[in-house]
Amino acid sequence: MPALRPWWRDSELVFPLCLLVVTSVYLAASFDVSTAFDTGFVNSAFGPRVVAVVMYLALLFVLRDALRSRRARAAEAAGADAAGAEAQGEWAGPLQIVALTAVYIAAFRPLGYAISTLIYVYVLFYLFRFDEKSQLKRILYTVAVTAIFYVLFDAIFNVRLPKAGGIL
Amino acid sequence: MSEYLAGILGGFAALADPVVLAYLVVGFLVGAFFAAIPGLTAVLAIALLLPVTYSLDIVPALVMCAAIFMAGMYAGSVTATTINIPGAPSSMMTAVEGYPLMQRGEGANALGHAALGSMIGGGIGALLLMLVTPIAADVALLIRTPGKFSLVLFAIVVIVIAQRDAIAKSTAAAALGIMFATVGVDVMQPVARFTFGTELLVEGINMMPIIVGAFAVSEVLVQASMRGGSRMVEVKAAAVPRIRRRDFLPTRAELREIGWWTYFKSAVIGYLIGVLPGAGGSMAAFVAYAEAMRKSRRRQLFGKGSREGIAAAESANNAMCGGAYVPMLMFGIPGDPTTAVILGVLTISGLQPGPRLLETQLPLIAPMFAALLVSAILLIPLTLYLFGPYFLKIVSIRKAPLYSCIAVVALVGAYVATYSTFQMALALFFGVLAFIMRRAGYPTVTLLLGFILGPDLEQYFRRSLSLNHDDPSIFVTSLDSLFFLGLTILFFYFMVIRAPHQPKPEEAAGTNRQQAP
Repeated sequence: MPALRPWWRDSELVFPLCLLVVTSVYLAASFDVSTAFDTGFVNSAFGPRVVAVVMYLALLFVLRDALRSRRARAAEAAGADAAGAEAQGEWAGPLQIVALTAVYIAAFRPLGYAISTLIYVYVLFYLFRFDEKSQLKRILYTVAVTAIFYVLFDAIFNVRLPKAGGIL
Repeated sequence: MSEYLAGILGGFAALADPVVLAYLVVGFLVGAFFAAIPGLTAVLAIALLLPVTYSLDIVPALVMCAAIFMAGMYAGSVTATTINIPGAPSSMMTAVEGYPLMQRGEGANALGHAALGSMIGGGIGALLLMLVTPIAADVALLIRTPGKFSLVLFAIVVIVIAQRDAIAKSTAAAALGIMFATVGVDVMQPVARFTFGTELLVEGINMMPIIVGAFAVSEVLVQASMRGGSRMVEVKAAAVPRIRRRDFLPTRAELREIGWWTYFKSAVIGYLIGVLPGAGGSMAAFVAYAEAMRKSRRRQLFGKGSREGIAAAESANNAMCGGAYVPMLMFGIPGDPTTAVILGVLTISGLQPGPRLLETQLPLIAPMFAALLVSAILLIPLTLYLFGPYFLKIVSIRKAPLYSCIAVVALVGAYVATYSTFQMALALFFGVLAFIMRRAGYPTVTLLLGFILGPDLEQYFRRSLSLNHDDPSIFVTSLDSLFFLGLTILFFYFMVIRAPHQPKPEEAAGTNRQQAP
């Protein structure tokens, strides 16, 4: 029996709430949309406002369903602590990958393709627990993956990849 | 018409060019590889290819996409049959019938039937595409701006209600896609919208980071959230006995039992479902399977290893490929996620979908049609014969290098499009968004289709009104518009209000089937 998570860890509830905020910001921004020439009621802001209304209506149903489903689960749930541990395990891996990728993107130009990709792939292997016992194999695979895609993009598809100091 | 036929034949001649042929074969093998591995899909393969199309000629790029599409529909049947885990969602019904045959030691025969069904269905779908597209182009020319608005509205409504278990979430996803599409310069006026003070958003959001993020980056994140989950696939694959080539060939008695009518009918069903926006291969396979079961004289075999069921499902999902191209090429409305990405390839290459596309760009489009047919009738049987016994080795491939490669190709690919790390950051953003949406049960495909169709919807609506002095009655007084509005109401009535009970695959087959990862 899946245990009930606190509401702020329940993606079924949190995600539509986030969409609600985003839609409100979007709707507010639609009032700042200027117009180059007068086209009456159906101007540049009309479409976005209609979409915002459709989104609000959809979210109304989504939140109603989420609350109903949460109530049903609450009736069956037991052990909120276990749920917390489960949620942490499910999100830890993706969060690590997102953080790593953000660093990779930031370092891509300053460090160049070769160095940044070598580090990125090595850490990805580490996070995916690839060949934990053999460091040498992991390093060899890292170099191979980086080299293969360098050849693919640079030599075959003639893409100018960033190079640190114009060399690597 | 004779010009059109000559153009189509020219398409086949283009495939004789060694470079184009190489892209066709490589595309097919890549598609088969991605579709055979549970979790990876042909859409992901084309999404990864998308950035590379910037530096490819349009003909090899489109030929490669067509080959990936066809291979992707076929190869999911391999793992569906051998280890009861469909490599692609469209092969779910094949798993229901193929795996019981595998357990009885007739797995190779089931794979042979799946390949034959795919070959016939894919072939018929490609031929229908070649025959129907010029007619569709003539019809498309008759549709005026209000009709175009109602057609795009119909497409969006069908895409949303096709997600029958989650219509509200699907509506929210489509609306979110349309919201992203409104960022940047307005479709009718030289006015920037929703840029929030940054110049980076003035040009709008490119389709590529959305595709790469939604299909590639999110898949890497999903895999990171279930590390070790692939182990089960490897263990099951290792336990499968050796498959011999000579057992692939279906016998005459089996073919008589299935009947050519089953193949043909399923292919036509698949093709027509392909034409519908948002329906896709899974629905095609399911409807054809249910129809075959309804008409079968050996209904008791369904769910226990029916070759008829495999033939119907595989014919339909491969025929869907041909159908899905029609609305994409004629109206810019993708029939399924794969054609949505192929639409990206078309627009990146500067081709604008529309009824005039065949007149003006037939030499570029015809090789793609030819590639669909050649992939179906030549490459499917050839791949099964050459690589069939080794397919399970592919399934056992280690996930860490695979997903690391996907992450690198996706991010570097996003950079390649505009030589900007901003595109990489957008790909990451959309990857995270798609991951959260998948976790919360929102269809990411609807987000993408909303993004693609949103600008057309807005543009046709505003143009219709501005041409008719802001009078909205034009949408009901214009016959073509009225037709599509009526169709929208009809679909809504039958799919939502009077929605028939849709049995789950296990229910339909009366068997317990293991869920795909």
